[in-house]
Amino acid sequence: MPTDCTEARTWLSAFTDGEALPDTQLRAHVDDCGDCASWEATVNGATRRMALRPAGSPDVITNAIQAFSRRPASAARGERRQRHVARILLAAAGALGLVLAAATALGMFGPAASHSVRDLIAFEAALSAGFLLAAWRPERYLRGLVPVAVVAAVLTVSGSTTALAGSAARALDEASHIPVLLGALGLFVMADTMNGAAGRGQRHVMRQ
Amino acid sequence: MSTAQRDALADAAAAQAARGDADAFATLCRLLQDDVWRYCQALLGDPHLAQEAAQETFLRAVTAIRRFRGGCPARVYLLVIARRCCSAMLRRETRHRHQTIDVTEPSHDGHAGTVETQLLLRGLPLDQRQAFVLTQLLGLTYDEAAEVAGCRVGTIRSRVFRARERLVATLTEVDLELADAH
Repeated sequence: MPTDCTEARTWLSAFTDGEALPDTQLRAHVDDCGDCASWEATVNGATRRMALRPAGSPDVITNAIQAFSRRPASAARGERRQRHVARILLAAAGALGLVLAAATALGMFGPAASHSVRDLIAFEAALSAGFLLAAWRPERYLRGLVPVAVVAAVLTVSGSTTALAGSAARALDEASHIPVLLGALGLFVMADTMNGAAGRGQRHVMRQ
Repeated sequence: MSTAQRDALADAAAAQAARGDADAFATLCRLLQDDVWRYCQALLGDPHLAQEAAQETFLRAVTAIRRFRGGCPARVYLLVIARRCCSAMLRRETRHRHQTIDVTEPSHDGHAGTVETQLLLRGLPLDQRQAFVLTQLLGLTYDEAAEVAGCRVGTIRSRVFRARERLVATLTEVDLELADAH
């Protein structure tokens, strides 16, 4: 329900574009408010003046059409397969990471976690959720996650290597880092399909 | 051809292009090139940059269309790609602004009928310009515009309203000046 003219006009603006009004009281407000009724008439006139169609765009599609036609079918199949593998890696990393984080938090691997361990569990769970989101909608969630996952993977591998070299840890314990490594690998493969494909299309055209 | 008919044709062409049909991809490009170019032009404010961004959009579509599953209209699908291309270009232009043309510099694009609209739109902040172009010039619904812009429907509603307020004020000023001149 509108509380003032600004809110009423925001809805009127949307109504002008074919959106539904939230309630009948809005119409009542406009009928009672001379300023809003006048504003609506002015906006309708201005909208008609703005709705100009241009003569047409310059040619922006020829290169793409050529790239599509000359792209071998095997390349497209390969990219689809690579993307599929990346999604599986990311989904597996996300699910495994969340399960491990939950199990650790519930004390299934030992006594109750300390404060710092709980912080680490929270970060691992967040990273795992990121992997799942990247598997679901890579175009939206992948890019920001890549640097985070790469840093996490590098630090994890270097830490594990040092610990194993010094016999300070068992190989089985270090297996808990597998989700981070899997996720980083999945992100890398997915980023390659997204970046490389467009670049390959462009290079293909430029070579002609 | 109405917008709805064009959208239906574009959706059908996109579905075939996703299966590798080159003729369907060409049809899709022809159907949507005006919209993509106008959107890029509105976001970037410069016809040369807009042309570059629109070309990049369709080149990305060469591979992206294989993933089109009809979850949204093909026009929205392409405009989302265009937004990403324009964002990347704006970031690049911001970094190198001192070496390149000013993206906000008004310039005639040689396409009849767009000059007045383009000049008026240039006075709007980027987010309002984007919302206005998507809903008014390209005829997207508010839901579709929100998907392209990556924001909520309420945000689009508010941005279009604010854009209208500014444009109405500008048009009123222009009308008054013309009346005085006569």
